[in-house]
Amino acid sequence: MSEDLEFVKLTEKQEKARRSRSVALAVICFVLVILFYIMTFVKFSPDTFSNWINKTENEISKQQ
Amino acid sequence: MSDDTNILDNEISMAEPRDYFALLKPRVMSLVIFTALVGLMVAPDGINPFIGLVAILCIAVGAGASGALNMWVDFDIDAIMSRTQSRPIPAGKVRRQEVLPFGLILSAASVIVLGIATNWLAGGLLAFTIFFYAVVYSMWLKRSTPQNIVIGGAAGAFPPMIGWAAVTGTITIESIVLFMIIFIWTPPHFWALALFKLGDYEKAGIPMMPNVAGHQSTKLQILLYSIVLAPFGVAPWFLGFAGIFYGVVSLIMGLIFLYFAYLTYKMSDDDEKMLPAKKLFGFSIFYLTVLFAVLLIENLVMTYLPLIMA
Repeated sequence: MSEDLEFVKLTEKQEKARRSRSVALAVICFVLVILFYIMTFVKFSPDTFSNWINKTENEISKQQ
Repeated sequence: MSDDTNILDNEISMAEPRDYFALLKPRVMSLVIFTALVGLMVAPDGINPFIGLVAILCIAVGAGASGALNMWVDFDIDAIMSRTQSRPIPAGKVRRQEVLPFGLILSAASVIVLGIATNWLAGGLLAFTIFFYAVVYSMWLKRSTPQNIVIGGAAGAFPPMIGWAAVTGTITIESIVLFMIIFIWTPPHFWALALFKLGDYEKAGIPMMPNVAGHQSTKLQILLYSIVLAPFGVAPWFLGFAGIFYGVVSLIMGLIFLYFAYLTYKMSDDDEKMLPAKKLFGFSIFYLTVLFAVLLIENLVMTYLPLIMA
């Protein structure tokens, strides 16, 4: 048995406003992911970076 | 019709991202970013540039969130005053009930991220600032006492202290001086505005100094606060965390501020144009901007010039 469902029809303006809100949310989420990713590296891995730099320097000096 | 906005409850939202951005009071936010940046830059020890950027972002978002919460509280007043009628809630662009969770979520997020990225003293100070502005000032002081902006001014004075705390993890005399400059600057700045926007405040029933204590008393208090402000402006030089250039600039700017405050004091009560008060209001913004800009530029020059020269 088929049933006619009533859906809300958005006007063009409402569609546009909803789309712009969605895009803004997507951009903010993406920026936050990048922000937290870099922040995690900067906060928790300065030793990793410095060890990696020291190791690379040692390898270079050994080769020389 | 909804009881508090002119948007129908079952109407689909037409709000655009810029309406939510307007809830953050971008103009106030820009001043907060600037003063917090100065606090962060002049602090000793330095900070990782990326963590510094995150700190400034958190302080800006926290300030914006408190602005949104202020708009949630003041929706009735904002609809009356000409200066605030175009804000998103009275203009019917955003529903009032959306603004409370928006402000609360941004507040919590900014405090937590600042605490994790820097330290919990900075995070705690930001939380206190948001609470002070949204609850102590907006909900209580603003509608109950003409001293509203004197005490409430603390909320606007905290950002450089938060910036400083984000770097050092401490509150020191230097950051207290930066706080005091903005704190003492606030009354003459807002009372000058209140003198020539008196009708707006009266219409909204906000007890500002001119409509409670009268013009003469307000003008005298503007002058007295300006007399206290001028030496505080020079204090960073006396305390040694600003150089001679800042000392000279702040002294000259302080004297000009005093001159405008004196002209406002001498202004006749019958003066309808109130040019001296308008000039004082305009100059007060310039004063604070110049002081903090010079502090920042001088600090950058003193830090990086020796490195460049070497």
